[in-house]
Amino acid sequence: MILRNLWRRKARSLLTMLGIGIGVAAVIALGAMAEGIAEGYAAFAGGSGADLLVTRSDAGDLTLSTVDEQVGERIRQLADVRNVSGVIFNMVSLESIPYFIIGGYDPEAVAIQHFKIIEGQPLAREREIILGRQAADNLKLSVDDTIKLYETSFRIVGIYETGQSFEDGGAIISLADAQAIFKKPRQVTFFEIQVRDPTQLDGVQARIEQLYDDLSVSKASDVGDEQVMVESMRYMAWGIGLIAVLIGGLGMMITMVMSVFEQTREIGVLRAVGWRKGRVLRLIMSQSLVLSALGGVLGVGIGFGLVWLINHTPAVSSFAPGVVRTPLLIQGMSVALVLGTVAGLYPAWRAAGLNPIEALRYDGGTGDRDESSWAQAFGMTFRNLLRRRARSLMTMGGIAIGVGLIVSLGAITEGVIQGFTDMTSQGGAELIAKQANVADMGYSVIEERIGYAIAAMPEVQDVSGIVWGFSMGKDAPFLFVFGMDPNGRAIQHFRTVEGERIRGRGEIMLGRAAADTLEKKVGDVIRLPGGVFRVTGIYETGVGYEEGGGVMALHDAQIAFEKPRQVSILQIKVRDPTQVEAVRARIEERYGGDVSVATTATFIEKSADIQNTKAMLGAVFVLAILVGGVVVTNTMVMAVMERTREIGTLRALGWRQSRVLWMILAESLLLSLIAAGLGILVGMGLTGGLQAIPGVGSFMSAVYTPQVIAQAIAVSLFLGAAGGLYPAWHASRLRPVEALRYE
Amino acid sequence: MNKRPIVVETHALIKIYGDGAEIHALDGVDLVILRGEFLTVMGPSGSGKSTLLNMIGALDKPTGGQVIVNGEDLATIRDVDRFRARTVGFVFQLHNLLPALTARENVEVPMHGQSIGEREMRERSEHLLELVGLPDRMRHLPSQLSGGQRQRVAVARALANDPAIILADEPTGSLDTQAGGEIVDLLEHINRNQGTTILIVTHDPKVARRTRRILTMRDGKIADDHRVESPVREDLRDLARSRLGSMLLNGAKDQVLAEIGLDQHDEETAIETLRLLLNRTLTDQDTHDAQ
Ligand SMILES: Nc1ncnc2c1ncn2[C@@H]1O[C@H](COP(=O)(O)OP(=O)(O)OP(=O)(O)O)[C@@H](O)[C@H]1O
Ligand SMILES: [Mg+2]
Repeated sequence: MILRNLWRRKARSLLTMLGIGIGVAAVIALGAMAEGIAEGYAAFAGGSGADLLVTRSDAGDLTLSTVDEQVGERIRQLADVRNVSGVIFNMVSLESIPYFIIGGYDPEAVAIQHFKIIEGQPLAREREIILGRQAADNLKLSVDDTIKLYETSFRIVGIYETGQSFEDGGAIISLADAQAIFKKPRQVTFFEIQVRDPTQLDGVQARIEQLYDDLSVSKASDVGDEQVMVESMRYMAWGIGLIAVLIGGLGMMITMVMSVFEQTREIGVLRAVGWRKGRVLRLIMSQSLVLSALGGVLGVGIGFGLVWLINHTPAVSSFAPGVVRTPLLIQGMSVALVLGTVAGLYPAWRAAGLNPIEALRYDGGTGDRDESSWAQAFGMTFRNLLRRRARSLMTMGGIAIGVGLIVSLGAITEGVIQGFTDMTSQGGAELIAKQANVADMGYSVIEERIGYAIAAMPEVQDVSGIVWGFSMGKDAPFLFVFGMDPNGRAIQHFRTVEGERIRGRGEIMLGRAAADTLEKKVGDVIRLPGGVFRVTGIYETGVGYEEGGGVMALHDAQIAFEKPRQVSILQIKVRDPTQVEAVRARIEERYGGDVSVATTATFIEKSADIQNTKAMLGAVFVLAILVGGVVVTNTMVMAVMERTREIGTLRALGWRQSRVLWMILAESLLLSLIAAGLGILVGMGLTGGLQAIPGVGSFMSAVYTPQVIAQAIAVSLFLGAAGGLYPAWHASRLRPVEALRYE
Repeated sequence: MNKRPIVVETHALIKIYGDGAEIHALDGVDLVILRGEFLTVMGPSGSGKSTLLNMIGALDKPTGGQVIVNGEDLATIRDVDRFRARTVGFVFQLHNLLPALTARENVEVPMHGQSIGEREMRERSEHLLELVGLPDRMRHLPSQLSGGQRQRVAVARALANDPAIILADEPTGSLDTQAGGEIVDLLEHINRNQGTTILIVTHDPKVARRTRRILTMRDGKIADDHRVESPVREDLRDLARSRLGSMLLNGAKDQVLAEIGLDQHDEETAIETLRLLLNRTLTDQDTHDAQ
């Protein structure tokens, strides 16, 4: 009976399942990617048989960790340690692969044996590289070809395969080369340690931690899970999945409510022939659960498809290969079932509560309740939507959540872009230089001497080197820190409202927001990696990023972020503002191997970070459109079905097909337009909520550009049009005689 | 003898449903309906009454044969929608009013898309609702009207574009006797005063008896086409056939007076009128039979 009821309304059941399915698929695909990164990190870190891994404790991500080589010497001397290998683990950006993983190993080290050569020779000396199987395929390179990484050419001597797609998508070079190209002289990313006796693992771990309080020692197998990146991917997977599921869930609820409306009379009969309330409740709940379970299965299918697609897209798979694990499938299915339960509960309760006599008299229903007379002030389109208030509201809710998300993320992205642009153009700089071919701004490293060389150019008035990064210490879990020359031009931009600017080392000034979240006042001290700093002042600049962070002397920052004689970016002020583009070209011509230069206005937009954010935004976009479209179509299909007779009457009275088509389309469009308004409000609320989170909020200054709003409205209208089109077409094609006979 | 124009004409009309087990819903129907006629179609359930109505109203296409309405062959008609809007008016068993629209807006529905101005629409719908006796229910929604009132709105809607014929499929089917009677009163009134041709499908002999022509369908065929005189006419004809009638027709006034036991001279003109009436009844009957 349950299945037959669902079968009776095939189109609707299918659409509902699809709505849930897409949500579940999103959970699975994103979850699989997070899993893939976690496993990849774990494999890189521990695949060679390492027991322990030594990294810097304040590095947010494994790739940002730096440990001095001497540390390795010291650890090697500990009892119970069998061997220690220093490894560089980082990424470069290649043309077709934005995140290309590079490992740097000592060719003599035990750890490198993990990469089994299947073609050519093992890595033996500098300027040689071995590629993973997948990487070789993706890049269409083979043994004896050369590849350029940061202006350095490497000869491919061999191809390896480990079976781990993360590793097989990358490449290995010698440790010395890696230290050179990633500008980490005498440093490594982490040490791999093998102990003599596995029972001594904890002892060794404790001893190293005692020796170095700024290093963290983890069991190799845990490394993947400990990564902030993996964490945030997992959160994102859940976040995005949740949104999709929420919208899908609303669609599901609509379906169930509608099917209760439709079955009112039947339910009356069931109650009249002696069915108990509980039985009716169970009937509706089962329908809902069956629907959601089928939707879940569908979602798992789509999810697998997506993962397959990801794994066949080199740009993504070499960095985040999808790995589907059983727990993920269970998660996906349970999401679907929870959804079915929640969405079925209200309709089931409503059905069980029906008075049998009234239910039997129910005549198909003209609407939720009597029309209010004020509704007559509006046109027919609006009144038709009003007839099914609950349903229209739920549909609008679904669209509004999607649109809200787009508005919120869009505004935050715009805010980030604007904030960064303001930040990089501090003090009127026109050009920004970052390291060429760097995968992510966080990895940008420029030698100070290049800054001096650029400053010496006659067209250039001034160059300020800035070091930036996230400082993760005890006192400040997440502080954005700028290192600047206290006497330079760029620092003038930070106007203190309390206390004064920093004059030299050992000092820091904090942004207003940072000072508030950290509860620090002028004169307090703050403990950060790299030392203890005295707060000399509090500044306000109006830029969220700046006010959420702090400024310290360049030297201090270089030490804190392990960038001796290096900076993250260069701010360049030219002498003749009309010559900006020419100067940019000249700098790139001369130092193009080391830096890439962009105007402050375009710098951020071009950066990989923003490109990634935009890609994510695009994914949310697509998801919102997919799920939203399904929900709108579902609603309108139902609206057409229950009004079949009405449409038949209109046709019998001489209404043209085009008129009927427009009537349904207009309803769909109006619905989505109202939803757009609602969605913009939801988005603003969402942003407000995010901004209220202490610490994080200060980085999220939202900017509602006209484009963001226009996008939201466009998405809504698109949903309305796309969702309304099929039902409208269907309605206009109804044959009047049959429509009139429809019950 | 005035020959009235033909409104509906069907020739060998056939409608077959289904491809496997074929159902001959209409099996060769020949029918002529004249302007101003007020007729009913009766017959057992499934005999093809609704199907016939749907063919005449261009709601469905026949499998074979021809339907001509108002001189237009429905097979070659270009704009079916316009035909439905302008030439025919439907009244259904269930009122089929649009629940979101007020009574007046419902009446205006067929006028949409027929290039009728806003103002004229309003005037016409108000006039029609007055005609059906609902001048004070214009702004009510269907849910705020009684079943009979809803059906009146449906009748007004059918009249919206002053159609050549009103097709009413069991218009009293879902109403009680009283409300049903009122709807037939209304239709009769419209037929008499506006001259609108009206065809009613009904199962109710009482409804049928109010019209002047009863078609009976059986198995997709017209089994009987029976013309009824109005009740008064029927009585007059009985009278004409009686002994008293022949006395009257023969002009034997005294005998008549004696027969009914009156002797005043004043009654003479009355009797003369009666005689003329009877005479006319009989001649009318002859022309009908000749047709
Ligand atoms: N769409 C259809 N598909 C198949 N058969 C149909 C269809 N419409 C009508 N019929 C068949 O055609 C025949 C005539 O139907 P119709 O509706 O004209 O009967 P009716 O005389 O109006 O009956 P009632 O008095 O019950 O309304 C019936 O046997 C019916 O089953
Ligand atoms: Mg019928």
